[in-house]
Amino acid sequence: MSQHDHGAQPVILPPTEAWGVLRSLLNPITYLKFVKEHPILSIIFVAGLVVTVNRFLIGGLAGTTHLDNNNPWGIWISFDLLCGVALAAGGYTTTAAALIFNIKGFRTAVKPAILTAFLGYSFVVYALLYDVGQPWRLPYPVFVSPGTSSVLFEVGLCVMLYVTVLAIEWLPNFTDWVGMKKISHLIHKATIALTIMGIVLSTMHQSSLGMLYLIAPSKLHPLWYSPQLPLQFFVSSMVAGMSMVIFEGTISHHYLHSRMSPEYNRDHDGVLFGFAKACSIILFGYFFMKWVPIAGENKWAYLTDGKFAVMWWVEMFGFVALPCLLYAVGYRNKSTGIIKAAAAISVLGIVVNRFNVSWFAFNIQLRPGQHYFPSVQEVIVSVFVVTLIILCFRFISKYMAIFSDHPAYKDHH
Amino acid sequence: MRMVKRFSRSRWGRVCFLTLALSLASALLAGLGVGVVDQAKAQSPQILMSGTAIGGKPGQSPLSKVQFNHQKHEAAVNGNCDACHHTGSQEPCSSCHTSQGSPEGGNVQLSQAMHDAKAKASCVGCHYQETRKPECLGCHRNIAPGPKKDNCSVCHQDPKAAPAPAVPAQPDTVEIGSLSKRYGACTFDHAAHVEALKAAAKGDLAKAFHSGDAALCQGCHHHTPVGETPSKCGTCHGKAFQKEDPSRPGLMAAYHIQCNQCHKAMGVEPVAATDCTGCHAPKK
Amino acid sequence: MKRRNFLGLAGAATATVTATALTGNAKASGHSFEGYPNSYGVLFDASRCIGCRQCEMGCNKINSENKSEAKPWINLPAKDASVFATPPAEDTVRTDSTMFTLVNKFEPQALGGKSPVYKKFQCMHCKEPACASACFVKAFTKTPEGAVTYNGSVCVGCRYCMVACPWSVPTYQFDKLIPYVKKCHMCHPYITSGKAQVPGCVGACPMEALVWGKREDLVKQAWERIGAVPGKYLPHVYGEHEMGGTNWLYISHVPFAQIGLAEDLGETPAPELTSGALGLVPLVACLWPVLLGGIWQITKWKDRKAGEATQQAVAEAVALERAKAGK
Repeated sequence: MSQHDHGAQPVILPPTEAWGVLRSLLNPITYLKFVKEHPILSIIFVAGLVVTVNRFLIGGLAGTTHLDNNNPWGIWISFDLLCGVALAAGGYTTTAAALIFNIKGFRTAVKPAILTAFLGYSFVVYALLYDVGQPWRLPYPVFVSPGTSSVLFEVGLCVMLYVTVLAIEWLPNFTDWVGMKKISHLIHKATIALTIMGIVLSTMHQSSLGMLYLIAPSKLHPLWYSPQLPLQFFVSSMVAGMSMVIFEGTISHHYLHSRMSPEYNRDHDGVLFGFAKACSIILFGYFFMKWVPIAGENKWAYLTDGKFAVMWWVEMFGFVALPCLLYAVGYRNKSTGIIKAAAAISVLGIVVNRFNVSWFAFNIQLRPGQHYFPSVQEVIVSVFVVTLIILCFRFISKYMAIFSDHPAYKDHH
Repeated sequence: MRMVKRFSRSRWGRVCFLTLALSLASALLAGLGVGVVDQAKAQSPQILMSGTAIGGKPGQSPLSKVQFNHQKHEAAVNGNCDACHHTGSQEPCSSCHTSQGSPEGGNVQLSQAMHDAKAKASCVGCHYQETRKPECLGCHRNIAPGPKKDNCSVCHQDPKAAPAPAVPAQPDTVEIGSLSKRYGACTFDHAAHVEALKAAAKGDLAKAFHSGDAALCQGCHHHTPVGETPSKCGTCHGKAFQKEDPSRPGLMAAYHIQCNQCHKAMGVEPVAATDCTGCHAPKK
Repeated sequence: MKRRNFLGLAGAATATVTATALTGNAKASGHSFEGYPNSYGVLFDASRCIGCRQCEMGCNKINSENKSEAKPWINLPAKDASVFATPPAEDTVRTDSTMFTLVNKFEPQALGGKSPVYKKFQCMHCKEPACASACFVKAFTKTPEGAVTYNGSVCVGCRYCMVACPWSVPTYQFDKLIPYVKKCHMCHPYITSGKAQVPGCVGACPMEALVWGKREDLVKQAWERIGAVPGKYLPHVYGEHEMGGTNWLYISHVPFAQIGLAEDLGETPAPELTSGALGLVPLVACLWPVLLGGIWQITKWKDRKAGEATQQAVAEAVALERAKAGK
């Protein structure tokens, strides 16, 4: 079944050397070496730092972004929050498949998925530090003055709890590496509980992100506004997560192949086919689900009305129907190439959908000159955040047993 | 028979008889013609409306018929009969608009046909349109169309009956300064305004409805019986937003609304409404 | 099921439910809130406004002369009278963080596109404000006096209130390093402390285009004005029902859409738009653990049964072989 049922067990450093690696992070020479080896990434890093200083110490939001009183939310919300959360959904989908539905071939996909999700959510919170006006007050909604009528409260609470769950779920990777056996053991006992909590919390906040826009019916275009927006966001998040796992797995295969164990490689294609089948079915349902509010609220006339209609058709056929078809064909023909293409299109499709809801089809009541376009600094921050995610992912995969089982704790997995 | 025979014997007799007969005939025809023409002219001066069916309000005596001057109205619409006779034929209104309403009249009762403020062909409606002209709109901007609750007699009355009330003595200028805080007093040229209003209301329509020049005072000095000396505005207009009469503006607003809106309606803005110092100099 | 797993499952369910017990605000069954009685509001008459901007100056004056140290978000930078000399040029200008209100000039089609009509823009002080519903730190309060006030001491700066407000009223101090939301507060702090009888804008208007009073009385007065001169005003009081009703009402002699007041907002109060969906969230928290736990148990049971079947098949095969070999 697998195309490359091979690979030696990757080398995992023993705990003493692990601490040495961690200590090297405190050493400036490590960073100089990094700059020498990765000039482009370093430029992004420096640009990110410059913008960070500007955002917090010099220009504030006005000097960094193109946000204004008509457009309070920009790409830091559209991309870093909405897309970030949707694409980090791989955590709950993969753990559901492997641990709740008990599908054997998914066991090895759990740890990379948890890592992606953990980093994804952590950096969503990090990006929020840039976006909100007084980031030091981020704990306020939970610990100081809860506004429980707010959808955003629910998003914030669930994301906070879920980041905690993910951190706990990811922690064994670290504690295994540095030799803290007892903690690993303790966490492993709570796996099912944590997994169920994770799925519940994910369901709630993925749908709540869609719920955010329910409060502004006059601002969101009728082709996207419907009371079913939360459900649409939740269903598409499942596809987003699975597609991201495939997508990230593809990229990891290219750059981190040496870290992949034979078991992981053996299971890899099975994961691809399993997710492809699931995504195809879910996208099929999602496609028809998007028609329900059109029919139910008699919005047919909007389907042929101007640029928004074009955007809607492109989203539906280019980014929902097409990947659905590609996933199905890829599954039937057992073609990993087609499946990987479908995954890439799906990932892009999630971005397109979230951008449509939060930016392109939002604030339609504004006049032409009032619309928002991100500033260069905003784009730098978003790129910076993605770069940080990639760097952290790379660092953790390079040293910890993400794509393999830790030699000392085989019995736990 | 014998006479005809005798006349016909002589030529002169025949000529005389023919001349006499022709003269008599033409005199007769001319007389008839004059009679017909006279009848047509007889419609013009005044028509009494068949309004005696109106009994007036309970406790009220029946209202008089309306004295409708058809000639003046013909001139006012420049001979365009369709302005009122909107069907094209010059039938009387009551032939279709019966007192109970009939299908030919679109089920519009006679009273509605006369009094509907929104219809252009009705008396009230057409007059209301006239008050929208700039020279009238200054005072009439806030006066609802149609007969007021106790005012049917403005139309249903012999205009010669009541004498026009006398106009009270008027000042030439008035210093309006009771509220001066940021700005000084405003010197209001009362005489000039009265003259302007008199000039604006010199038309026949205005004279028909205004009982006299004294009626013009009502445009600003509202709630004052015609002919009486008006009280100071501040007698009733005091502090704003009073519970007793929430719709009554405070004194400052009463002044500004009165002046600004009248100027705007009449299209006469010697000073822009937003130019505060144009009317009252700032205080130091 | 092993006890440990059951406890873990129960723990997960309880933890999730407890953690989300605060979540959601499903409408209390059978109750409806008709608004605070005796709450005050303002009626704006578009036919009276002459665009002199005295209201803006009055607002600026009262908020810049009574600077609060404890509440910097109600302060405004003092502006010179010359700023208000002429109306803002285009009708696309909106309030920013240096002002709570703005008068815009419109040239509506209904009057031929040449006569100006002016409209004052400020917080509508909704009966059920979208900002208060949207704020996740309860920074907005609908006071019984009618004003919707903002408490910057808990504000995180998420700006969801700006997204939620149908009239896009709240402004943000994007240029400050410690920014706050800036929004008209109907001079609530000054009126409740006795410093003022009416809001700064209302007191400054020379035409009484702004009328102060109890909301019910203002609605009555608005309809009386409309009825008094038939045909002058549009037979609609803007704010009577829009978004569930607002405390700032408008009557106008030209269509409201032509003076910048959106007419497509509907009558559903903003909180109702999200309360239904939010009410489902605790249900997910209760039901999902049951569902997922059930699925997990079923798959475990299936695996066990499959394992047993395999074992039995192997044992039978071995026995058969032994029997054969034994022969």
